[in-house]
Amino acid sequence: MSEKKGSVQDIVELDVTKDGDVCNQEELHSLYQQTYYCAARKAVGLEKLYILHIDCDWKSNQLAAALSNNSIHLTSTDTLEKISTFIAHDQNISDVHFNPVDPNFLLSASSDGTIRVWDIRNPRSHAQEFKDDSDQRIKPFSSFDINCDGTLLCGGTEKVKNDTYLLLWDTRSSKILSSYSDFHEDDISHVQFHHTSPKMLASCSTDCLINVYDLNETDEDDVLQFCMNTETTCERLQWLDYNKVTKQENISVITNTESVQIWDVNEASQKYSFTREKISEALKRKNAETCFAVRCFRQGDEKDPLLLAGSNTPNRGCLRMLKMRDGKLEPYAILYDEKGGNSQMIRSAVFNQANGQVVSGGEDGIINVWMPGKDKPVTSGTTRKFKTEFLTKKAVSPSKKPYSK
Amino acid sequence: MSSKVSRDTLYEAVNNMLSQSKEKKRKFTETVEIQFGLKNYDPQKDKRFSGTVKLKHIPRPAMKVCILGDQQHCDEANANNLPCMDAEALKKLNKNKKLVKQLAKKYDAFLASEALIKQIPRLLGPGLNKAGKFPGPLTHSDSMVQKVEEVKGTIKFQMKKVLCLCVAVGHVTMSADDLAQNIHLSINFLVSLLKKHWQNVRSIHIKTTMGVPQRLY
Repeated sequence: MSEKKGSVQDIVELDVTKDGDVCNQEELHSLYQQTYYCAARKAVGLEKLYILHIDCDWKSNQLAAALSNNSIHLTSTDTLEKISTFIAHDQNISDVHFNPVDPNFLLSASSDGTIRVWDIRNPRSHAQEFKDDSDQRIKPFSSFDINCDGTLLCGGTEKVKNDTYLLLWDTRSSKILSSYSDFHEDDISHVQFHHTSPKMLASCSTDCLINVYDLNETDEDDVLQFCMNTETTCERLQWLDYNKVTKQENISVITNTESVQIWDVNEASQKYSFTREKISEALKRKNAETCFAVRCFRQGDEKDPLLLAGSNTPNRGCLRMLKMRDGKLEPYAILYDEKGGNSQMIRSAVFNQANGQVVSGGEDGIINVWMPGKDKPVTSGTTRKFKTEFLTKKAVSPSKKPYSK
Repeated sequence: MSSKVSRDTLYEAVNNMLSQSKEKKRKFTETVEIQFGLKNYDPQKDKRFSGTVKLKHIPRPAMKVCILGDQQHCDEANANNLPCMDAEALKKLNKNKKLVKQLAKKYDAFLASEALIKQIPRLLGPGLNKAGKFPGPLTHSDSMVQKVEEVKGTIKFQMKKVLCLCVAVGHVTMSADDLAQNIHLSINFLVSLLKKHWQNVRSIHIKTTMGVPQRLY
């Protein structure tokens, strides 16, 4: 009897006071060869707000951050100086994207069932709105994307009663192009157009599937091209760069259990699977239970994709990048914020292929800008390039402004 | 480190639950589920609490899995008394929505050979997607029987708008040890996904379908 009972132990709490790296600082820095420094760091406000989504337009030097109070915060991508903050929706914002063709326009989608276009020069009220309430039912958006030539808009919804919708619009008119409800059986967690093919789209869902669509077809029976069953709930997908050596289109997916999978689209088969334990090992961390995966970045130029991952253990956290090369995860760069600490739960990040710049934001309401290379040493007489600033103004709803220009 | 749910508490609750269920026998085999109550967690802004976990002991042994296989896999399926269909049989459905829907209803899950799986959207249309039963992959290096057992032993959980999550981890005809092991694994796994781990857990109960909840934490 006592032997049998021994097979199950007490359920104990993980001791995070012992969390940290498995090697010392010296070894760590010899493994992570690419140096990065924190070029800018700024809190979005005095209130406790989460930064949920970030998008940057590198050419125009603009950053848009969607916050947990349903507002959008606009800054420059280098100094993080605030340009404006405005309330965008009644309910939570599911994503933000700059129009790739005209960065004066920013788009946001929400569980309030709308996708709104904002002229950031004048974000008092939205310039355009897309929604489908044709059957008097709000379809809450859990994700959306705009294609590379700015012509198509796609919104993925949460499951409403028994249906989950994939909606498509031509951006030039507000009329809906297609409404598909057969492709997913649960919330669509992420949709993303291919970075160079304007009619190729992928979606992933908590129904465990990654779907790839050819939007040159219109019939619901012909649009779906490939379907990949990850056998676990998906949070976010990323189209990877076309691999000229293997001649493959690959998609990476981050799951809700903090693991990463890479799939060969045309074969609809899984190439690599990185469990949370494998990621934690590659990061050189002790506890897999505190590690989380944030983003897969395309580097372009035939370089390997990068995985942004970290740990949010208080006072012992980290944020690092791993290179995903041939089914292996290799240490690549440490993103270390001396002033801010490194335990923020990062919710969104973007990568600038031109210069390796990374911008991240998270649940502490702090945006960081990371640049490759070494920080320039400060000598007396020169101003520090990076500051820690807290904004003194709170976000003001545009409708409450007494005077309009 | 402090014990959150002691082995004794767990076994006591499991045994209570099982004996209560035996006292009042039902016409069906009751499911055993864990109920998690969360705190300091906002479903609107915190990370989605969702995923799949593979349990050690199969919680749903009656689950019907059908193999959509190439010649080799169909032979293996027949040898193991597992239902199967080959490419020809799928083509005969002719993308007919009604027939695909019927097929989806007949089985709880599907597994498909690698060669066949990429053709499924074209052979059947989105019918299996809609039913939430798109097949999982089956390679030739996998043991078919083992893969089927894996599918039967994997449960999905997802927290939607409310702060309560229910996960099926077994049934009342399982032994106390098997249930305890499944519960132990599930609790540790689920807590590891929460931002603040145990600080996000308000309560944990286990119960049978018709039974009274037994508190674990």
